[in-house]
Amino acid sequence: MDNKFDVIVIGGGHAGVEAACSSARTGSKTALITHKVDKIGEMSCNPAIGGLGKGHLVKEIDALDGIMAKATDRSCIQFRMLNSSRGAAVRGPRAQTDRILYKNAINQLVSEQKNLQIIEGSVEDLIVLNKKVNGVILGDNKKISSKSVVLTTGTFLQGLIRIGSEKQEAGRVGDKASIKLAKRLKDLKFSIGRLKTGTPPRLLKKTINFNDLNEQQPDKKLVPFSFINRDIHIPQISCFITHTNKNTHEIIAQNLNLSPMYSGEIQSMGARYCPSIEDKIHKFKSKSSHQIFLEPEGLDSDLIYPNGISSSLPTEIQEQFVRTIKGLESVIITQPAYAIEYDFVDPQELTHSLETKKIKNLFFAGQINGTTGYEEAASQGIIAGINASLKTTSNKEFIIPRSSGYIGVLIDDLVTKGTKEPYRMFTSRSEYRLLLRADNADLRLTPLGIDIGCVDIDRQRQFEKKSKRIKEGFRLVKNHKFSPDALLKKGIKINKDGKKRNIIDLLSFSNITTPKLKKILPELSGLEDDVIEQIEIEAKYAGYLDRQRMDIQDFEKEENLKIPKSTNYKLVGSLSNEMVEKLSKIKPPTLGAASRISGVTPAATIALLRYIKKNKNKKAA
Amino acid sequence: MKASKETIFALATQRGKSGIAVFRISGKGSHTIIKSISSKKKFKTNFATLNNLLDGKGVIDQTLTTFFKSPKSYTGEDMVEISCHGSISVINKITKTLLKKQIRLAEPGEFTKRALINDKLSVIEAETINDLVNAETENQRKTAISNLSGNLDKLVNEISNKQKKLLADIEAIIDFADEDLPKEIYKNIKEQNKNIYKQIENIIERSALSRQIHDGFTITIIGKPNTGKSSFINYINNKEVSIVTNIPGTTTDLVSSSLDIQGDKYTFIDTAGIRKYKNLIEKIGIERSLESAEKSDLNIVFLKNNEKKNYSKIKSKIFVKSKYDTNKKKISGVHSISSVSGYGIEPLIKTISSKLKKKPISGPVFSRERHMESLKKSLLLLKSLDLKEIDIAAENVRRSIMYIDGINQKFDIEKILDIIFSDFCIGK
Repeated sequence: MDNKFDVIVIGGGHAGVEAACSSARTGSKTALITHKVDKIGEMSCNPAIGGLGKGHLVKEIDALDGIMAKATDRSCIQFRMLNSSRGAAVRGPRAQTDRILYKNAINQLVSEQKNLQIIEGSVEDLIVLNKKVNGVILGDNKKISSKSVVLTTGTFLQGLIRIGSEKQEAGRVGDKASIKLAKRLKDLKFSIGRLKTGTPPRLLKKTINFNDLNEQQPDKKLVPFSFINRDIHIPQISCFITHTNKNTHEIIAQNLNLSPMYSGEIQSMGARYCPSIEDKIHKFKSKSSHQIFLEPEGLDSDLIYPNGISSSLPTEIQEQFVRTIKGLESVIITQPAYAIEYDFVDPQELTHSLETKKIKNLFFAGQINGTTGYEEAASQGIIAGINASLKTTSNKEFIIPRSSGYIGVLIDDLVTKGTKEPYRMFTSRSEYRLLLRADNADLRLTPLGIDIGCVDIDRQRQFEKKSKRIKEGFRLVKNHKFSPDALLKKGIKINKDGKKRNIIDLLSFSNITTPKLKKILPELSGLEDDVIEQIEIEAKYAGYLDRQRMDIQDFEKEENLKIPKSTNYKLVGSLSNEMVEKLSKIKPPTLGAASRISGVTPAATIALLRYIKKNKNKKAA
Repeated sequence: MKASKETIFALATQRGKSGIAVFRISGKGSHTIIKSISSKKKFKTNFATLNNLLDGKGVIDQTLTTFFKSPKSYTGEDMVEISCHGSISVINKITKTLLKKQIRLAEPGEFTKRALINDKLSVIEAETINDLVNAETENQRKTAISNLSGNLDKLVNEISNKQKKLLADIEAIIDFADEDLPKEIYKNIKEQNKNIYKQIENIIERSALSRQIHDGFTITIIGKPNTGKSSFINYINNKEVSIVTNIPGTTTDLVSSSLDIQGDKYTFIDTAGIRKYKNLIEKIGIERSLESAEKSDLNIVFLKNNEKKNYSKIKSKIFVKSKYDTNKKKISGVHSISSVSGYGIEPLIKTISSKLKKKPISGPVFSRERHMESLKKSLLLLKSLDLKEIDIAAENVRRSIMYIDGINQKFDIEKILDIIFSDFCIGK
């Protein structure tokens, strides 16, 4: 085994594998160190990837040549486009996946990656010299040196599992927690918080009666997650839906005091969008029933993941309430639900490249930064991996602005605002939702990836072809203009206002469709589906997209006003003490980032702007 | 080394000879600096203290000096207010003495700006202070003081919160497409939206009316030469009402006088200047006046005989025949007045104000163009809301919130998420 690398990635979860692969792709000799090699690519919670907001993230990771989308396409056993009847900007692709197929795919992709070595071992400590990380120390005291380190330890820092009154130190069920490492981070004076999350029980499939349950079928049209794939080749199967009822609620309400969340034992903050069944029943008393998705864990798996009933009640109570539910009357629980509490580092400790402000060349990614979800973790992983690699050779940083991608929104939210609950992506978090769509993630981000060197040559070639096709397609539809008279001759009626319109203008009329327009512009038939799709979306959102593009120009003006790292906020004047303290801690890199910090008023932003400009002039003079 | 926060001062009262003048000093150094030029060395916060100001050679003036301790002051900083005698020489001497200390003259509006930054005032309140300082009439003062007490901020927040709830419901439909949201959610959204835009419509209507409180009413006086227009203006300027301002026309040759009549500001535009064109055809003169008449809220037409039809193009008008003292013949629908005896003037003023003042206004109103623009843009977006295109509907509501929030604060998506999670049981 080598003991010298450019980049070491600690952790083999979703953040870790993306970080390791992106670092290696960007050209660094990389090591991925994990507790157990056979856990790489494990989906430790629900067997699904994507969804609203999350699906956007997966597409963006793929646009940067990441591995999550490719693995999803190889394991997707039920594809659904959420919001498929609604506009393109709010559609979210989601896959139920086969756990084993997913894990195999990840393992294959990781093992095929050049420049990447996998090491099994537990990292007990970081080597830090002069506030710069130089490598890690393993459990057997072996030292491995590196120029950068990416820490992706998920819920393993001081992980504590709870089922009823039982507790157990663990990273997830069956895996040790990283206790020494957590202590080390505390010694380095990182600001640490505590969060909790939960997972439902796993059910034995053959003990469930599916006959009277609502079936949710997969979509007819399968859209691969990865831009380099044309199809998904995995058989598609159904999910089933059942509901809790009065009896279920009664049992839970009666035993609420046995749940550590309610007995006062757990005080850490859980995500409001991932409430336990106890929470749902306690907080929404007027609701007499809650939906449960019975998700298959795989094509051949004998397990079902009942999405919607995560809990930390004692095992026997779980059994009782689950059996009140339709279809689950004689179900067998193979693994009880549990809640897990874990440490996270305040993401305000990080810069936009995910490097820590305290220790140079040390990067954090994933759940350790207070997020939840595989997709959120992987998004940070890919960015941290690229930046850890760049750091070994240059001063360049790879940062996706909020105006270019959901990954940018995610990281900017985390590092400027911090988080109090596990952070999850929603489409409503993006101010430029109509522009940042799942369908155009490659058009938005792949060029940035090519520039920075994290995109393989095959994808680069494929992208360049597509991008050329789209440019030509838009040129075609913009250059040809038609008068109402000319249109009428081909049977297309519009107002006779004498105005000549191009294809995009015409498509924005609700009664005019692309097939109709092929009559007046036969060349349209020569365009491929992905080109037509982009043209139709542009037409549908016409005025709105221009409006958002203008918003982005305003946004960029503020983003281009850099605030020097050395700024002494006490000298700015006109700032309250609280604001000075906040700004000094977060050190926003731009005026825009400063304005997004909670509590920074518009007036303070203006004072800051003046100060920056004045100082710039001074330096120039 | 530069102090972290500069201490500033300004004369708060008008420069000129008067009984007293007031200086304001604000900033970290204000207390130390004033103590260094005072006969008294101890000041009780918020109490006016008799105090001699000194310049090293002797006493400058006997003053009343009040210390305010941060954050309980106008700017939120340490402040001092000095009431001195209002002579130019005292003012000059104090200014010079202060300038020698580590303290500078405030820029226009700087005290209010600091209050804004230190969260003592909202943007609306800061704007209102300006209105209050510039209030000329009773109703302007009333509007300004009611807005200063936070009414407008409350109203803006109320609308904005309703819009945020609306957006939260729309976003829930989008972001939680596969959750079992309440069935009546679409109906709820439509109702909420209607309720919000009706409220905004109402405010715009109310505010448009009260705009006239802010700007006052414009009344153009037209008529052939020698029909008594100027005599009328002179009469009301001198006798009937108090003069607010008298601005001689510069480019239009029109003269305007602003009068406070029963608490409202009325600006009379006298087209007397048209007399210059006396030797031209009278019609030209009338056309010149039409320009002004077009823009005003009301026109008073002075008749020579009964030439009403000449003025058929003028929209809102009252006919007047003056010189009642010399010719007592009355014409129906025409006010007879005399600017010599004052006959008929009072009924005429009553007619004017009853024509202009419609219904009494209740509730807070917006008086600034900036506010009205934001309300109107927001209204337009909400009124055209179409839930069939939910992504575009969300975009429109989001923008409509940005307009409303732009009046006094900034937009924050976290608030929307907070509402979603408190209203719906979401999450698997």
